[in-house]
Amino acid sequence: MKKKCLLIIIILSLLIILAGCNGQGNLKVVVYDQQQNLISDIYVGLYTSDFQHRVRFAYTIKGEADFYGLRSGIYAVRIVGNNIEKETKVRIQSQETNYIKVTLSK
Amino acid sequence: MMRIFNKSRVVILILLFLLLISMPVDAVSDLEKEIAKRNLKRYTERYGKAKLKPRVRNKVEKIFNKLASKAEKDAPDIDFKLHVVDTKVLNAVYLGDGHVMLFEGMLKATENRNQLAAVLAHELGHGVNDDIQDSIDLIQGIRLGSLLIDYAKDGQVNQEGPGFITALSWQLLQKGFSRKQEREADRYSVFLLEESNYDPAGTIGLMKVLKAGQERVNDSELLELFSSHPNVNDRINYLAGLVSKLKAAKELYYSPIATTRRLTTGLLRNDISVIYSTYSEMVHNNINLEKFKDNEQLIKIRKKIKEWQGQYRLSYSLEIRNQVEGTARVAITFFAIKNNVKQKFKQHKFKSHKKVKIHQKKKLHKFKKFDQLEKNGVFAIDLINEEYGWKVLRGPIMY
Repeated sequence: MKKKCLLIIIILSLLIILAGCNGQGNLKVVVYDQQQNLISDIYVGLYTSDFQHRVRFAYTIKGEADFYGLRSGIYAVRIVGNNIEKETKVRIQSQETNYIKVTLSK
Repeated sequence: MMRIFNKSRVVILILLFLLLISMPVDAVSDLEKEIAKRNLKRYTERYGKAKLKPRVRNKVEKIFNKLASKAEKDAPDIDFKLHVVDTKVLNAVYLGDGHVMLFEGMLKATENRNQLAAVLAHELGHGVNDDIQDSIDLIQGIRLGSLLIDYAKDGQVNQEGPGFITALSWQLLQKGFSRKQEREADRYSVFLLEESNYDPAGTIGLMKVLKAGQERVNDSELLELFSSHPNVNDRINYLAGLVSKLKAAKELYYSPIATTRRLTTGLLRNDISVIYSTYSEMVHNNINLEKFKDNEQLIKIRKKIKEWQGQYRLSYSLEIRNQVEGTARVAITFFAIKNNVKQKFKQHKFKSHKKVKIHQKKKLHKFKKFDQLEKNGVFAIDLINEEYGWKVLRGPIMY
């Protein structure tokens, strides 16, 4: 009986861990200029952590670009606009909305 | 009696020959395979395989695979393979049965990826156009003609054996491709480069490299390429014309602006099919036309435009606000001229026709500025460059 309980607990724990790993989260990128104004039309590309493949992209509207339903994990982010390019990495966690605030300046 | 019998055999042979050449050939023929194999062996034994640095090999293979994967769609029966041989000769050849041979001299002479892609795309063009088989058919036709004459003369045929294929393969190498075949391969290379996201102007750059090589080198072996290819200057002119036409067409039909223009026309005509046709395959896979019609955001915008059209004469401008890695953000700005302003404006009387035009332009500009639809009149569109051109992925979204 004890063994069965232990087995069930282990399976449940594994399921929770797996569900946690495969969960989905959101990302909101907010882009400012040097004067801290929100800027539109900035490219925000979301890539696999090694920048090999683009997962999604968006252009900002009033400084914001939203990515919903992203699989949890580490992503690379490339932000391009006004002849400036910035790169960063972000960890997306399950059931959470992650924020990145970027100031585009030379 | 014997003569009649011989003549009837000749007629049967001719008929058989005509029947054979009129049959469509889809797959690579056994003869082409054999010839390709022999010529591959001949070149490899003569020059040996090139010992490329891993970085260079990867670069060449990456470009070749990218081009070959597209070319194989045009010639599904061919599996293209690349061989690089160790020689300074400025050349590349298509040997048949998908075998493309690049000479290291040519690899080193190219100045960038676009030029290297142009060399490979040209040879792939010979493969796609089935030029080896056409040349085989031509040579065989000539040989068969002479055999038939021999046969008709004395009833004897001095033919075939293994020497025949060797002679044919050697003849093919000697003869090279015809000018028409070269031109067709040049043409194909321009479109293949474009389709594979290389700059088609690489073909022109390549020709310039070849021309410089031609002027610099006196070695007859190094000039092997030029002996069989049409005049380099002619090729440069032909390719420059083709590339500029392609660029103009691309600008007109395959640019973020062109797609947004179609979308805007659809919005102004309230034509949902036109609007839907500008959207990406990703959107089409998720939403069909019926569901697309019910998109709330789009309904709102179409209503707004209809409302404006009731009050104003609408005009619009398009502007690329950003373009990164095969994606683009385009802004549509709607302008309006109030109908009553339009009428008042028409009532103006001007003395000279020329003056009218200048004055009209200034006035119109003033009115447009005055009646610009400020915040509500500007929309953002996000586009992506897909296989069949630029398509809308997101939008219109109000700024």
